[in-house]
Amino acid sequence: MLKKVLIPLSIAAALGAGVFTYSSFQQNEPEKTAAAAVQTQKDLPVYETNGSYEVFSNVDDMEKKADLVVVATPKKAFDQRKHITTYFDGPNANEKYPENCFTITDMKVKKVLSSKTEAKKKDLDITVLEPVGIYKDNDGVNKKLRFEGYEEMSNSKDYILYLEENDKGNYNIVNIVDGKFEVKDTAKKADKDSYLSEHAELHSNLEKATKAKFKKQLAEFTE
Amino acid sequence: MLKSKLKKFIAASLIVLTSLSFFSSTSFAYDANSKADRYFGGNLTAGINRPAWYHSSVASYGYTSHFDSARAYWNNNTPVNIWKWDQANNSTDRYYVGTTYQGAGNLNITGAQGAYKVVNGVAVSATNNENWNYSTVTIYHNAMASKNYDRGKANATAAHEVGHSIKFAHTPLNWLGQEYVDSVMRSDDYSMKAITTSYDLDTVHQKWGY
Repeated sequence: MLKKVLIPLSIAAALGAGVFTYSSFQQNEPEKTAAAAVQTQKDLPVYETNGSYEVFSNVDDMEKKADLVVVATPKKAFDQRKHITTYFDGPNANEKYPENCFTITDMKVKKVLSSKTEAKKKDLDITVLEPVGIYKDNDGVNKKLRFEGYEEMSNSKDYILYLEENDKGNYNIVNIVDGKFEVKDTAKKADKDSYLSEHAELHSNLEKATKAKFKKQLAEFTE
Repeated sequence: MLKSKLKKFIAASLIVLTSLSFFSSTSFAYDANSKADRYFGGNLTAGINRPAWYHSSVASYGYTSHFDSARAYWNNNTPVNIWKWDQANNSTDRYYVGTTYQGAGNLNITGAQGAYKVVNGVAVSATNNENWNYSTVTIYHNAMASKNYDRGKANATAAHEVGHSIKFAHTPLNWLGQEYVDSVMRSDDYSMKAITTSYDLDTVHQKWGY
């Protein structure tokens, strides 16, 4: 009698423990995925800041906000550009934390797609402040810090940029991650690890709408 | 007789243990390590009853009450309890008010949050889905001033960044078919409500339980 009760219950207990172990493994997967994504970066360890910023969900509003919409390419590789980081002191000795972390990117404008003024159409050398930079962490290691997953521009690619001029004559990217699109971007669109997954759908929608809006002007870059 | 009672006791114990194992492994139970569109994965090493240290910049720029309101927003009728502390250890969030770089930074960015884990006694950056010891929470005075933010929007910016510090992500683009989600975790301009919104309450409950 004892065997009749205990054997099925022992099997049930083992199954329950198995399900629990499998479930625990699955719940830890996101952490493993995040760590793997960091390791695929070429040079520096990469971290993100999350934040608040002015968001646009359609290209017409982005264009209204932008002083310039251009096709442009960086003049130098990322590691040759100037990186600016300022720090806050921490509450304890030897602690500091980034207050600002960005990169000054000089760019060559290849085509002006839209401009608020005639004068800006002749502005073929511009400086864009990219919300990604290099900082020294508390362990003394240099690391890359991206705002909302923003990836720096490559000097071997052309980008469509919605730009807003600041009071120093430099430009910020309207909509941050979602105001910058590679002119020739095919494989990367499917790479959701390249920016925070929450941006993937909006980015894709805005990219399609931008390329449709400026289709004629972009023809020379896509043929 | 005694043997029969012992058998029943063993059988009942096994049933209870088996049930507990099964139900703790299903999605019905909340799990602080879980990840979803509306919140990050990983845990907070000291949980959601946690202190926050205010840097001197918070008072000097006049944002002490904004951060107080932000903490109260998340503490209201939830298991979250973020309390102000004049000291800081490896479980204490750090609150700051900054300015974007020499007026040349991006004035569209009004707040930021960074995550930290302690490794070999040193606090270093952590990814969104790792376990965090604490966060730095920053709001940018000149960016908010340039947008003429009123009290409600400045409170919302502080509450948004504090929300990130307890693992909450931005609102999804569409949530249950709704184009507009009423939440301080919207990444665009938003004015904080006096009472925690149902979306934000639900996010707390899903990530941290009741």
